[in-house]
Amino acid sequence: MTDCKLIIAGLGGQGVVFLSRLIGQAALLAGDNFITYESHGMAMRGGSVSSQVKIGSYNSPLIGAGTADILLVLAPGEYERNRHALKPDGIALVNSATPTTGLAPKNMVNATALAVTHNLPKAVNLIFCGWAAEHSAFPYNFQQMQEAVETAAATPAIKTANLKALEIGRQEFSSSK
Amino acid sequence: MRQVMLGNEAIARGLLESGCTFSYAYPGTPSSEILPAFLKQAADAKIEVHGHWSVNEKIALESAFTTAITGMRAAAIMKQVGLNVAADAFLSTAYLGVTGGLVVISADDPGPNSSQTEQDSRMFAMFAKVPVFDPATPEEATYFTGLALELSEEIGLPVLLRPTATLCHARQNIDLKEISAIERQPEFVRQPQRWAATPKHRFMLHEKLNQTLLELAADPRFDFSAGIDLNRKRTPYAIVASGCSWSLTADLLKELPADLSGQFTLFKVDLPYPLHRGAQDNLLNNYDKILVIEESMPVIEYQLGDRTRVCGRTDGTIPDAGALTPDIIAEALAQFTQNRRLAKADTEIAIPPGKRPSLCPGCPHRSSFYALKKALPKGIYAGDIGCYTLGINLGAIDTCLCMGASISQAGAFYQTFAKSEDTIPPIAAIIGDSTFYHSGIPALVNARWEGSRFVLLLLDNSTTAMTGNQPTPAAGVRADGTQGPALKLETLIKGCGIEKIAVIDPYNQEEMITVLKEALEYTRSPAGGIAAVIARRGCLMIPAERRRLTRLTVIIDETECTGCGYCLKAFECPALVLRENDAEGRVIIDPIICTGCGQCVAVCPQGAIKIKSSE
Repeated sequence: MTDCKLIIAGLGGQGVVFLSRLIGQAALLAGDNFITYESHGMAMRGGSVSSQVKIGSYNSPLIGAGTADILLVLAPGEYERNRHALKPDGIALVNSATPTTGLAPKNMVNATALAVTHNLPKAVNLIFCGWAAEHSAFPYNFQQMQEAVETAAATPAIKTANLKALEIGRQEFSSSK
Repeated sequence: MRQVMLGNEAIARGLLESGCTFSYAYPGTPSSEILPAFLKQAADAKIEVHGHWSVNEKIALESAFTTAITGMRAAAIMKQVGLNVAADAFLSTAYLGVTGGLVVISADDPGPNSSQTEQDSRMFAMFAKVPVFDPATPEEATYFTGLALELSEEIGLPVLLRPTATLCHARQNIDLKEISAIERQPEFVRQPQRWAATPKHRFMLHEKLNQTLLELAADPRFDFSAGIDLNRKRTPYAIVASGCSWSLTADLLKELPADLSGQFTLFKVDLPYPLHRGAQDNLLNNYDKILVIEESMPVIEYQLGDRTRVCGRTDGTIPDAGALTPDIIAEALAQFTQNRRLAKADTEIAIPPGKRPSLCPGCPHRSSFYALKKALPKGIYAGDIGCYTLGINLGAIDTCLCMGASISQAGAFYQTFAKSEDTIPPIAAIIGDSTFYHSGIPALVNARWEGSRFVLLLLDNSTTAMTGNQPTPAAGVRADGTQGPALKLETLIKGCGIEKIAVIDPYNQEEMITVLKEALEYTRSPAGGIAAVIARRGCLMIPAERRRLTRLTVIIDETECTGCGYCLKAFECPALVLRENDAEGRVIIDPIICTGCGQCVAVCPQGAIKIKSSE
């Protein structure tokens, strides 16, 4: 595939790191080179965190201002903090309960509400991922993310729960089209 | 075989691929994942190794050095400020050298993101006269780790590997080699004039060290101009970079239009100290303008003999604080070449401040801090390094100097105020269990001996929480999961001469306040001294602790909440959030992250926070 630079933003504990690993797993399955960067340490305690993912032959995982192709946002407040990284024609996909200025409704989803409804409070990130993977700008398609979840899960129980969350996201995309 | 690896896992892989079977570490971001990865990969490959969480970095280095003077290969692993703790041993090892292989891994944290300084371990290596490798990618980190061990064995010196946080926490698909065990038995050759060298012998060892470094600076393997064709037409500019600074620069140049990228020749330095002499000459004799890009101090730059045509950190082209980013390097290139086309994309978007980190929902430290402020109002709270440094948000931490300093500082606050005419304020030292084992114990012995008086609040969550829940000696479980003897905090504190010790569950807030008040009284009574209060409750990041917790359903009665915001300020639990679009500023509980600990109930002045029913 062509080179892709992607930023995942959210708050510590939301599963930002997990999501970036999942995209890495999808890249591995697709045979693409990639390098990602994760926040660790003090920032993980509920503060603003972000992961950066570069697919292609790169040496550094860091992404400069105005050069990211896609911005994935798990906490709505983090959109403002990260949108400077997007290139002019880049796409932002945002988890938000309320409309965000400057964003088209098709680029927003309330994955948090879906997680509460389906009693999967820890799977906001995967519901969001299932929804985001249906967008054409996303580097891998839904089936590829599904395979990534299947091959990355530590236990069968986690796999089932994660696949279910991914599917909830996909259905949300189809029903809101 | 190709596999996805975190930079730190790639370093562990490098250790195992090159026959290193002994690793000693103390956890610290960004280095913490190396030792667990070393143990896991060795177990997966069915290789017998010894990996241990040493109580501090000095002990880790002393241990690894000792293994390496028996002809074996060993690693000492730490973060950059850990190297300060290990400094005494580090400088001495450079003189003594090793007979096996010794790699010291010191992970830097430019920024800093999770540290008290953004020091450069390469500078420390230069100070200690120890060769240092600076890997640029996780894949290269695997390779350089092995190279460091081999070089160490070849020249008989410790070698430093300096990754930065960007590499430690980068994840990349990399090619793996086989893990190979070296068949070797330890052998200690008695040689007191070396291993117990007196000053006279030290002088000779120093001269020998200098000679080895000179030879290394002429070693063709580390000629960083080797890949550059100097007979070709010279580019107007040369850039010299090492490690992650090189990666950033290479990626940036790759995406520039050819007419711009073609103006630069990029030199990559693998061994920043000692810097290759011949390569320096090739650089300085062939290029008119040279930019050195390195993190976080001018190590390469300082070694260049003639800096009249060199830009970098010494002339301000590269800022002398903060982590390097693609944007900062783009700006530096623009300034260096006087060409604004190289500057970063001008997005003109102001970045609002991010959400600051805070203690997790249900964190027992929060309850301890709340009780501390109630029991010792207007006190001086001497803090330490760990999650509980975040008590600063709650106004319950006043100082944070370095590992173990809370106790020394509390003692010195007492001594200083005791000499004044004013009354001595309530003084507390707040320290976590892991930090207490690390360097709190000598400080406590000192404070007791000196006759200092303060409340020692030991936050015992039975883990090293901030860095990812590594075990401490309290439970006796070791890095590899085996059970060792449990070294109880109470026994240690008693052994330091402390006579007043109380153990309390911080979730029992009322009782904890009473215990802390009694402790304060003791510090002021004629026969009193230091009063220790151990606040004991496990970290909720540990799954077993989460399962053990009785979960309560906490609600906020919207008719009783007045929107005073006291709970947000005084308790700052991430699960207490402002009701959306509420003019009165009332608070609700975020059910997704609430742990149901119920600790906020007692905090509300209106009694609006309630327990619905227990599940």
